[in-house]
Amino acid sequence: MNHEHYEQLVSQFMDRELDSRSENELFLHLSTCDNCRRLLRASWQLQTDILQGKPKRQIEATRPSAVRLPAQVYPLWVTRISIPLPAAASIVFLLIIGSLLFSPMILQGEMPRPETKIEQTLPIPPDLQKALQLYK
Amino acid sequence: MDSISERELVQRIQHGSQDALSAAYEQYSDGVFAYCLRILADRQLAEDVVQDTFLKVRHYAASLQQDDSFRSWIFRIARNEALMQLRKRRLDSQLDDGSVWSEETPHEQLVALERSEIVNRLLESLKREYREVLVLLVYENMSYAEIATVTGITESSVKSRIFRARKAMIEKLGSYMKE
Repeated sequence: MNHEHYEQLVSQFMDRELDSRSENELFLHLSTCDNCRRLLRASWQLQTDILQGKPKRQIEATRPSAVRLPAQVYPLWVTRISIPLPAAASIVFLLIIGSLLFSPMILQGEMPRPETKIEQTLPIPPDLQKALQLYK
Repeated sequence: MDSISERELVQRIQHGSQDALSAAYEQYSDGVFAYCLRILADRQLAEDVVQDTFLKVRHYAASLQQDDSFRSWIFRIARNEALMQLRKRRLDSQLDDGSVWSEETPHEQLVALERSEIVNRLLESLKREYREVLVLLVYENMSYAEIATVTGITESSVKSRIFRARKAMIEKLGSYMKE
């Protein structure tokens, strides 16, 4: 068995990928081989060093707990005109209802006429009364 | 949200739960960031890739099969995104000259550094394909099978790359520590 075989076993042992049979084989070898024991120690040390150098995110402290995921993408008509749209629709609706309610009254002459008020508040001259009679 | 299983987490994401997606983000985004940073060597770019990765997780969650490992799937997406960034910047070397090193840091520069800094420099000097398997193994505690899933290579290639990268780093480190 060449020495690289045992070096590979050391590597796999480090990575928790060794079955029990190979593990026994490695331990037997380690009891007699200084080089492989050194390699195992060096591997452990390297693993620790690499892990200690794991990069940390600098934004950790400022990151909101609720995730920095980009917001759900909504269509333009929802995000930009979601408030004006109902308001505009309400105004148009009122205009339509108003025109439907009042236009027949105007056409049929049912709207209150100025003479009613005039009659109630001011004395109407006789010639004006005649003129107003024409519009009845 | 901590107590739910990975499968349940995936199911909730597939049903459009924003809370579940947030939980996945909290659980995996730091690891994804560290991995991407080791590929890209650029913090801002790595952050961008993290964001893009989780957008894709949300978008493609329905395509995730029950047998797939959620963590491996996320890291595979992150890897694809990171490699796309590398290709955009033409920083990914495809040359295979049999060496594990992509560049040689001048000896004098390393001798003066602390051990942890030397290890960092050596890790950065590894070729990307060696560096990434080592990072997934050590940072994420992944098995050979998981690393193979993420990187799209065979388990025996993963084993071989880790062995070669580790051995090369130990030899280099040994030569600096003696001085």
